[in-house]
Amino acid sequence: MTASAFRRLLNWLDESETTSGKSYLDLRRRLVAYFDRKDCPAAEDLADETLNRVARRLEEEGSIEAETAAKYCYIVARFVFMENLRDRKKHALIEDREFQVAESNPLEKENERATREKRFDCLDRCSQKLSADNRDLILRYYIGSQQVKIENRRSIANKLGISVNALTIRACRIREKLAACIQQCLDVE
Amino acid sequence: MCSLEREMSKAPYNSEKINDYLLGSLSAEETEPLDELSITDAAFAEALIVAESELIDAYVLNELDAQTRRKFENRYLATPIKREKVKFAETLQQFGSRQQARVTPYAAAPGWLSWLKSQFGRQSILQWGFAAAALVLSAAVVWLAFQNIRLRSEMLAIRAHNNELAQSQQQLQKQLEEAQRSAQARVETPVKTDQGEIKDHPASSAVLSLVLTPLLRGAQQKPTLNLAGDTTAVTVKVVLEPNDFSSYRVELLAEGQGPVWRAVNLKPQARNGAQSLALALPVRVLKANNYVLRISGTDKNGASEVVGDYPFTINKTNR
Repeated sequence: MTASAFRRLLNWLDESETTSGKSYLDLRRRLVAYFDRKDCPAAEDLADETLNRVARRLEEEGSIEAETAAKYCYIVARFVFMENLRDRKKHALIEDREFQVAESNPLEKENERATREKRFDCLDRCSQKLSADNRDLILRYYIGSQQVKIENRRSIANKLGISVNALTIRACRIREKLAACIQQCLDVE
Repeated sequence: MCSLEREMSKAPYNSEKINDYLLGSLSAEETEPLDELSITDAAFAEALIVAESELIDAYVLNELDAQTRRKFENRYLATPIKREKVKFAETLQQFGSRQQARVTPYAAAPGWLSWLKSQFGRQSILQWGFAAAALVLSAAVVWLAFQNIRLRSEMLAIRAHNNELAQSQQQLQKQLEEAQRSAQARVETPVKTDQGEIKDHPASSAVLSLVLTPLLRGAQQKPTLNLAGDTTAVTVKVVLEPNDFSSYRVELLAEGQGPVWRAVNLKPQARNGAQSLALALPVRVLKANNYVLRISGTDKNGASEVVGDYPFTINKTNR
């Protein structure tokens, strides 16, 4: 995708000449989740392919008539998914490394343990980057299980003066930030 | 009520439907509109993220009922991204437990203290007098002491509960290890008939085990595995002839279909000088048919060579 095509796509998604790119990032995240829910092995690639096709069309035609930008992207995503499904059926081969009995291999066990520790380190580092309030909230949010967890969350919500549902949503947003930070941290290491 | 909650209350979906959607339990007709909403509707996209986190947490904390857990394991965990989400949730839960000691429970509302401070700061000592101030302070101290006692007893209760949880976790861990040991025993102790036929272990229909040895490759009668409807896993131990390959690739070939499953970069296990490969075949690819497990070895230079074909037959039973 050329720089100008990308800029045009960002503006079109934001319906504005001045764009922060937030709509693009949101849409890309939703597309990745969509392809992942459809069990596509390369969800990120398919999301990029969808956005590339939209950008190409915009570049060629100058504009796209659609109810909304997101709706048009969904229609393109469906085509991309159908094509991918057809390709996968054609090859009708399930390649899977996960089905190996991992527990039986001491080396893999050791690798898994190392990765787990690395995840902890990353989580520790990433949680330090959160604001004090958010860090406190997320630490308290994951205390306990079953009834203890429910009571704990109720008391946090009371303390913050919000409903438990609103607390869940708030915690989920912080969790998303953490997940993205940890992924970056793991990729770098 | 926040905007997302308002949106959900008028939306054509609820948390149960969202969970079914995430677990792939809805029909194509029901799935399609939710697919569209997941891209076009910001509120639904966020509701999905929240529901997915809750679902994964419930799985990690073993809070799902048996049926939902089965669906989660069979359908949800199908992609690396989703498996990574589960690993992240596990890390987060464990991190929460590790951090628990650092986090103190919420103490009495600071509003009271600040109110008291502000009141005393503003009032002249001459106006109110030492006696009134002492009275109010005493009342506050008594109140705080009661609060302190209450919080301490709550903390003790939480600690006791955590200890119980830790004990039950240890018990579960023991049970799991025992289950793994017995599963391993099944893999290593096939039921052989005089004809070399290998049957599933009669004690468990959920996990079937099969051992394929080089000798069976030349046998007249192929090993047969009777697959019941409730079978959830088929483990296969392939005993290898002595060789120098560092890793192996396995292809499952179905008669009339060709390859239906493949595993690569498998490391052999060595025991008493004999090498073997441990495999778990996905039940979804196994139909009533004749199969061949084709084993190829890969040497240190990356060169690959077929080292053997291991035929077997799958029968489906209605047990």
